[in-house]
Amino acid sequence: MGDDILVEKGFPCGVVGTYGQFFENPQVTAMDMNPVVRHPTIGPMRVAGVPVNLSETPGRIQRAAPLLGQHTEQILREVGYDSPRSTS
Amino acid sequence: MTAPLDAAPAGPRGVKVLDFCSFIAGAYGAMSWETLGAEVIKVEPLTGDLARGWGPFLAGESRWFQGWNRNKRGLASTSFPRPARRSSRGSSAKRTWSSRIPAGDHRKTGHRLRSPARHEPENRLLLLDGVWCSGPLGTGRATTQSCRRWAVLPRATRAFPARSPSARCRLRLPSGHAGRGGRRRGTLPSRANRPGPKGRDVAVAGNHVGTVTLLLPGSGDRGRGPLGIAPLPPFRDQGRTRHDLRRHGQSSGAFVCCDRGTGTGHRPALRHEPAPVSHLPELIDRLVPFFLQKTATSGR
Repeated sequence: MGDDILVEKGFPCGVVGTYGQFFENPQVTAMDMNPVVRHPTIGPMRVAGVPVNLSETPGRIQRAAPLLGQHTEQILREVGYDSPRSTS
Repeated sequence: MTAPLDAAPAGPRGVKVLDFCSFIAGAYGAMSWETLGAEVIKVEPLTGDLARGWGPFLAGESRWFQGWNRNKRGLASTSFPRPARRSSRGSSAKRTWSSRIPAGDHRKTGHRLRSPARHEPENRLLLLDGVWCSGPLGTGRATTQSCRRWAVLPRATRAFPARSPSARCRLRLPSGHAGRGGRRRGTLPSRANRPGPKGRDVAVAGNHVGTVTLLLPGSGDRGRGPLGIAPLPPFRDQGRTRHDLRRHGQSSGAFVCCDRGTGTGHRPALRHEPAPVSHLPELIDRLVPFFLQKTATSGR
């Protein structure tokens, strides 16, 4: 790509790549910035990882974005509704 | 009994966030809480978040929405403060939140806080809602006139939206605990109103689209200084926001941006036939004690 030559010469530089190149970059993988999550309709999909990692409370990607109302019943049951539909 | 500040948990673990925000900035702010340990529930109207209708799409799902709402659980509600429409300005007396607030009038939007006096250090719950963004991303209005409101919530303060989600959302803050930035972007709260190192745990800030910031309260240094700063999207006022972060470096608050888009009529299909919730206040009344009890149990 040419960037290796520049870096070797002491030029701080980086390749402006595509999304695909970003997720395939070994440095990105090393930083765990390309985790895979499973979406209900999309299936496995790569997302950008957590950019800020705290020593005591490191974040992590657990799930994809929800479908509209995906967890409504689950949440309502957690808070004590016997029949969530009765709230409508 | 008040716990010493040093005993406060690091980061937002234990914080419960109900995310009523839409589109990008608010969603990103809430997502930042989730990735750093908080539990976030995204509450949407049955029409869905505005971002669900924004392409490009992947298998029918908006990539935008996927990017800003990962790690959240989703709840759909029929009772949701709808975005304002210009055509409804000044209409009939029986107005909803949406019709009372002309697009772009940030002074009438924000949060309403209720019961802030109760002090339970290990219980923290945030409801993010109500900060207004005057236009869709990309318009001049969105970047220059969107609002900036912030509230510093004493630890364990429970922040609620308006008494009724359909009523006007207005910022009402405990005296001496909060302030409001100016209407111009980049304006910061005055030094006197800035969150101090004692007794302040979480702050909510509205910001303009594209300048999402997040500061977390520290624990080992009595809450001074941020533990982490979320990266900023490459918008034109990025530098300004970094300046903001530096100025807030000694604060003890966690700043989260939230905004609400104006709505453009996108109607994503309901895929899971969610159980709609007609009475959001009732739901919130149930959610709050549930979270408080759960957090108190897990924190001991």
